[in-house]
Formats: sequence, C-alpha cells, structure tokens
Amino acid sequence: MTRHALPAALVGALLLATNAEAQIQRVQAPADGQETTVYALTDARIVVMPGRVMERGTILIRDGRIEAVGPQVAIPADAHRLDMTGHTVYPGLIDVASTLGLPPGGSAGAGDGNNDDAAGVPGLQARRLAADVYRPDDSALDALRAIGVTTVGLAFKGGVLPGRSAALNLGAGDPHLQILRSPVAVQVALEGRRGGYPATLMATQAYLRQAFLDAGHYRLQLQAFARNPSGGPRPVHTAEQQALLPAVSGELAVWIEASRENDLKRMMAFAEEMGLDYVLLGAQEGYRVVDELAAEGRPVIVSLDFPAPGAVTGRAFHSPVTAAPGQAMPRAAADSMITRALHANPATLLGAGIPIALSSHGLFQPADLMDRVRLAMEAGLSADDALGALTLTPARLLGLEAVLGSIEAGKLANLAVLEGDLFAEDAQVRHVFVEGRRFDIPDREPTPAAAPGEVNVSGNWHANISSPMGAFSLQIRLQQEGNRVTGQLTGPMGPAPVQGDVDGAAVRLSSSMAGLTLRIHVTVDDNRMSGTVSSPDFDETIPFTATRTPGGDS
Amino acid sequence: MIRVLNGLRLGTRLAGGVLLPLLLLMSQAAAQDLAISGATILTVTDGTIENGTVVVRNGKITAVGQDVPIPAGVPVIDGSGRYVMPGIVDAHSHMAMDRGVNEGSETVTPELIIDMRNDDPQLYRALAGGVTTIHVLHGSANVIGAQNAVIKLRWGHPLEDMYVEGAPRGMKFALGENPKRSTGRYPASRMGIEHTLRWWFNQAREYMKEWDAYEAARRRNPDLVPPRRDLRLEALADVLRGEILTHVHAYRADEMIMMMEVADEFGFTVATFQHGLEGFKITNELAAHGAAVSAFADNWAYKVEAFDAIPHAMYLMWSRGVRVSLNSDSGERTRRMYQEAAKAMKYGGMPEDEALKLITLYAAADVGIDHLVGSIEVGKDGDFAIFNGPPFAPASRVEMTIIDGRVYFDREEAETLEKQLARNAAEREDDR
Repeated sequence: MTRHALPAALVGALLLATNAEAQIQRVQAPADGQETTVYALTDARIVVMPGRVMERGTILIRDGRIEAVGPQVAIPADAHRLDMTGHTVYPGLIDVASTLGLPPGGSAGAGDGNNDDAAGVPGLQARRLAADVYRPDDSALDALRAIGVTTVGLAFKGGVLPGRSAALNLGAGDPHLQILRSPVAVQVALEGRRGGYPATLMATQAYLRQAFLDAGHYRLQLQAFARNPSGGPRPVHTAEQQALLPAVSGELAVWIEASRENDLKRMMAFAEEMGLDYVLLGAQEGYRVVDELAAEGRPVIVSLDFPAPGAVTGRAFHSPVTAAPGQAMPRAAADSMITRALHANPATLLGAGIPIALSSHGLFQPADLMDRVRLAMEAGLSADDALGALTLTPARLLGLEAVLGSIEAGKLANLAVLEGDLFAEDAQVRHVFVEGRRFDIPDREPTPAAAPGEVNVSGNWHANISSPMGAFSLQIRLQQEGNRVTGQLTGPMGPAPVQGDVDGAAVRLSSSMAGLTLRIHVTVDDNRMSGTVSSPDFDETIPFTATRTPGGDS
Repeated sequence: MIRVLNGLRLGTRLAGGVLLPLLLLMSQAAAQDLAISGATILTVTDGTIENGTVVVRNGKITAVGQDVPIPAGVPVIDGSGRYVMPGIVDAHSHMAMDRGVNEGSETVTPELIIDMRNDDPQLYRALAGGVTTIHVLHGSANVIGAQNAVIKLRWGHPLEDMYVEGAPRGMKFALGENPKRSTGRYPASRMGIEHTLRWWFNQAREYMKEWDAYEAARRRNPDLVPPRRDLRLEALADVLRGEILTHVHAYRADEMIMMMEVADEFGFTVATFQHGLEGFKITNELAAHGAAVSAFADNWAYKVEAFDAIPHAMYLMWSRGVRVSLNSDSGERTRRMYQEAAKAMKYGGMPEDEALKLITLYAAADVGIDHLVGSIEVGKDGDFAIFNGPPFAPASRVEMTIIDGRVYFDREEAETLEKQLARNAAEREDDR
C-alpha cells in the first residue's frame, strides 16, 4: 500500500460523496413563550468585537436592542436574568453572501415559479429582489443559528444579472419582517444562459456591457427630461433599466461574482470601465491576483467554497502533461500545495491589506461554514481576523454597521452564546439571540452504542480522508439488518448507494460512483472503523478511517 | 547544446515534478537576451544561412548572419547540427478559448470579444511543435461571429501578457453549411446568409449616420442626449471603417464571390478566407479583391461543401498571386504544421522558402503582424523553432521553442507523461 497515493479519479469520485448530511440540529421553539423581551446576560465573557474582550460583564437586552453592556450594568426589575458564568458571548455571526432559500441565479431557476414573464428571462433579471423570492427553509435556518449565525446576506449564485441581494435576520416568524435591508446590491455573475443569448462567457460580458451602457443612457435621458420635459424624447422606462439605474449612478453597490483569476481581472476592468461601486464575491483565486485587488483597496467577499485544486487556474503550469484515457493520473504533488494556497486565500488577502468578509456562497451546506473557517485558520487566518470577517466587515458590506457587527449599546441584540471558543471544533453554541429573541440550541444527541459482543454499523459515519488532492470528508449513512448492510454516500452531486456485509468485526462495503467502483474494507471497533478504500479500476489503496456521528437514525 | 537553464537540473533532483515548473515560472521575467550559434538558419525572407548566428537582445533580433559577434553576457545556444526557423504562426485556432467557442444563440454577434485562458495544456503541446503565435477565432456557427485574439504562447504568464501588442482587431465571419444548419434560427440557406450580411451592414450604416447627425447637432446643442450605444452595430461600423480585419470562413467558390461582392458594395476588403477549399477556382477574383486564403493542405471531403478540393490548391493560388497561409483549426494538427507546409512542395512544387512562409510570414500577414514576426530578420521578435534536422524532413522534430528570446519549450527538460510515471514508480519503490 502506498502512502496517500490516491488516483485523481478515485479522489474525484469520493469528492462527489462528501459534504453531505451536515448535522442539522433542530432548535427548540423560542424559549419562554417570548413574553420576555428584556434579558440580562450576567457574568459573561463578552467578545465585544475582534480584539476587545470583556472578561466579565453584563449585556442588557431590551426590545431587540442591546441597551447596555459593561462590567457594571444596573439590572432593571423587569429583566429576565440569565447567569452566563462560564459562557462567552460573541456578536452574532453574519454570513454576508448566502444562497439560503433562494432559487438559482441563472437558467437553472427556470420553472421554479419565480421566473414568470414579469420577472424577465432567467439570469437576466436585475429587477428580481432576493427579499421577494426568498423561501425560508426552517431546517437550514436552524442549522445556521446552531453555529452562531444570526444574519445573512441573501445573494443569488450564478446567472448574469440574477437579481438584487438583501440582508436577512435569522429570527422566527414572517421572513419578510426579518429583512433588514433590500436591495443591498445589484448582482452580476458570469454564468451564461442555457438556450439563449448570452450563452458563452464572451457573450455574457458583452451582454453586461450593453446592459450597463443602456442604464447609463437611460440616466442621461432622465436627466435631459428633467431639464426640459417639453422637448426631446421621453425616457422609456423598463424594469431592468430602473433596477440598474442606482448602480450606474453610484447609489447602489454592485456585487460581482467571480472566482477565477482571469474572471477577477476581467470584472475589475469591467467595473472600472463602467465606474461601478463594486464588491467582488467569491474570489476563491483571489490570492493569484492579490496585487491587483490590493491596488483597488475594496473589500472582497470571500467564499469558502474551495474549488478542487485540479480546477485552479495555472494548475497546468505545474504539470502540463495529462494522462491519456484509461491511464492512471501521474501523482499530483502540486495539488496539495494548491490546496494549501486555497485555504490560505483569506489570510493572504488580509495580509495584503484587503478587507474581507467570509461567506458560505456556493457551499452545498451553508452550515459547513465554520468547518471551512477552521481550514482557513489552520492556513494562517487569525481568530480576530476570522471574527472580523464574520461580523464587522460583513455588517459594513450590508450597509448595517450601525446596527450589527459588535456588542455595543444601540445595536440589534444579535448574539451567539457559547461554551468554549467560537472557532474550536468542539464549540457548543448554547443560545442565539436574534434581535433579542432567544433560541436555545440543544445538546448534540448521544451516540448510539452498539450492543456488547456484536458489531452494529447502523448510523451515520464521518470519514476524514487526506489525499494528495487535499483533505476532505465523507458522510456515510448505513443500515444493518443481520449481516447485510445498505445505505448511501451522499454528496453535492447526488447520493450514491452503498452496500456490503458484516463478518465479525470486518465490514466490506462497495459503492459505484461516476462509473467507478469503490471498495471500503474496514474493521469496526465500537464507534470507529478503520481500514482501506480502494478501487479495482486503479492499482491504488489509501487508508480510511471513520467515526460514528450523533444523530444516527438506527 | 549549452544548457540555458542550468539551475533547473538541481530543481529536478530536489523536488520532482513540482519545483521544476515553479522555477520555470519564477524565472520568467520580461523578454530576454539570447544567441543561437553555428546553426542552419532558415530566415524565410533572405535565404538560408549555413553555420549562422542569430542574436536577440531584449526580445528582438539584433543580428543574423555568418560572422556575427555575440555580445558578452548573452547566453548562447549551440546550434550546430540544428535548423532554426521563425516561430510558427498558426493562422486559425480555437485553443485556449475560455468557456465558449461558438455563441450559437444568435446569428450575428460581432460585439463579442474572444475570452482566452492562459493555462490550456494545448498551448504547451503546440509549443512542442514549434508554434509561437496563434490566431484565435470564434467558431463558424454565426454569419458574423466575434472579434478575435492573437496571442503568443508565453506559457506560464498571466493572460494579459500573452496578447500580441500591435495586432489589429479582427473579426470572424462564416458562410455556407455551418451558419445555415443551426435549427430554429435564420438563416437556413445561402440566400439567407447573404441577406443577413446586407441587412446588418445596412443597419450599421444607419447607425453611423445617426451618430454623425448627433455629432453635428451637438455643436449647436451641447445638452443633446447622444444616441444609444449599440455594441453590435458599433463593431460592424468599425468593419465598414476598415478598422477590423475580416476573416471569412468559406468553402465554396460561389459564396466567396458573394462575400467579395458584398464587401465591395459596402466598401471594405475581405482580409482572409478561412479554409477556402475552392479558392483555386477563383484566383483572379481573389487577387483582384486582395483577399488571402488560409487553407488546409490536404484535408477535405469531411462534409458536403468540402468535396471539390484538391491538394494542389495552395500552389495554384500562390502561383497566381493570392497570398496563402496554412492553419490547423485543431489542437492536434497545430503540433505538426511543418509537415503540412511540406505538402506544398510535394503538390505543385512550391519553393521551400515559400512553403515555409505558409506557416510563418504569410500567416502573420493574415493577422497584420508580419512586421513583428514570421521571418528571421533584424528588428523582428526573437521567436524561433529549433529542429534537429530540416523542418520538412519526415523524421525531424522540434528541440526548442523560443519566444522573445526566452526558451518556452526544451525537449530535454520538458515534462512528459513518461517522466512523471517513471517518477511515480520510483517513489513507490521508495515507499516500500
């Protein structure tokens, strides 16, 4: 067996199955029937903002706002007192660009009921408001609150002019009452349409150039008409031009989705040409254009949806040789280096003086955000910088810095209360306050124990696999009946069935994904399985270990 | 051969497949100084120099000849036994296009400007065939396609550094089967293609008039709102103004005649016909109009409009004063353009220098950069392909490819699949 010598195709097949089944912890109904709107959180360790910690203090919440915060706060008689000894209170986290509850930005959204004629052609609808088409998904909301997120920027993914973003508080009740700001920005992206112009990247850019030129021309017409309504042509009002008008006049920001090196350059040049007040969204390859981004000096929304190293611009410079069909890929030592660079992207940008906000934009499970933040921190992002990129900077980008981003009197009472450090893997979020409304986060469910003397693999398993293409995780759900095992590996590309059998403590599983057969041979010891994963399609085997995760439905 | 990149051997030993390419990337500054000595130099425009030397300073050729002193400090490649020709220019390529070759959604899309990527491995493979410059065109699905790109294969550089500075704008047009066969879209016939051309050029004329009228009127009324900018018509207006070279995909003689008549009517010249398989039938008309033809050597009968072709077409057109170039239109054929050019000697007997020009000087002229590349002359770019034998000999192959005096491909140092797999096997041995 070789050390970590996993063929790329096998890794790719495994990647298909990662990222699934994030542990969604159901949050109990808001506590105390919500009669109480006044809370005093006493004896808490308070992270006021990055770099400012109050070791022992009290936060007074009234009617959704932070009324007072400090080491000595007089607690009024009507306050519901919560002893927070041993807890740390953080500002509620802000995921500045989340696709939570939104239809796709582009053609993939056709037929979802949000793309009728009035809304325009799918992907070409700057008029569309995220705040209007957002459909709340309670379990996703719960999962986000369970990691301490209290506010998201609702941002479409894909399309060309997919719509306008909004800021949403993750409170309960009518979601439209939770919108804090709309529109936040006009969104621009480079995903061509299916079945119509613009389909290619070159046409997408031509379309955008023409659309913004047209909006600028509309603005000139409006100005001329205002000067002299009795002469000259009457301005023709279209929904698209009206939506783009504040962007060309500099009154509304433009969020430009671009992840790749050349797209980032293209869109910076485009925004300059059009004179837009823009923010780049995604910027996964930002580290490759860090000088250009630093020269611009604008904040960047960095997605933690890390691309596969093999897809990163310049990968071929490391190894321009590719395998012929049917041949094993050469070992790609460059890929672990690229993976490190991708994880270090947030730290690299910050190191160059570029303000960043971290986002889940593009992640299959938005609640994986904190796992990705930890990867970025392992690659050099400091805890204070990570916190700033999840609080103050996103608050500013949403235009809500006056009411969000820190624990200061007058701001909205968006708080995350934890036992332990926010960024620790075993961090336990205990309470979340959204505009003063309290959500209690339940303990993780206890792990089901196998009966003594026999192996029972039923339940959910989590495997961490390190390979030359980077570390990734795999979620497996298994059900055992007798010695027969069935289940599935589920991933962003869809689930793949898995089956096998149990013989004593030995378990043999096989699965077929992307035309490849995977074989997992392990021995099970209580809540841990270890062994190998291999594929008969390749002469390669790598180590495999998995642990049972709570929440199993055995 | 003296190793120009001496330091890289150490890198190879140290870190296998990773450090070597990294060092290559880091070592890429601007254009370089370089000399090749003792080689057979095929200048293309001024005969062949035996035992010749060519000197490149800061990327440009400063001297070429038999008794040329090499300035101190200039790295020298020993060219003895080697043949040096100008870097090959591929006059028609779709390599390295970023997310789209054909915008087939509409018939007329001149507002598009081709998007490139800098890391397509096909570019590296083309380097291995001595190609240094390529003309990248929109596909042939549209009667009027996109504006082109002319790039040098500066592998490892950022995208913006790959474009050939000083290359005029170009635009792809297409006639015949490809644009008419798209279903659900006008035109569906050659009649419709001609009408589409005339209709859009008339629109462009109207657009130019509208702007001329505005420019005249705004002198009296500076508050006047300008007309709407229409990027599509703006690009066509630039064609009518002669600011854009037109490259017209065509096979049949009749449709090439049609296109030249349309161009004459609207006052512009067709720069090149791409493929032009039946061009040998209309050499007088092509020469009179001033259109060049970028051809295939002996590639035909792959579709209905490509049957009436002959391998002597290149020679016949050339001999009657039509400028001819050869192109690959392929990420594979581009690696053996020198073998394609040799066919012009076989079929008709084109002189060797002229056959070489099909893939160098004449291809450069197609895209308006023959003042920069395409021959080994003082003042031109230091772009070369170094062969281990005469380029037209069947067993010859490219040893080195040089752009702006910098080595971008060196067969001895080049990464290959064989080398990578051998390293893998060696590392497996180490693991045991």
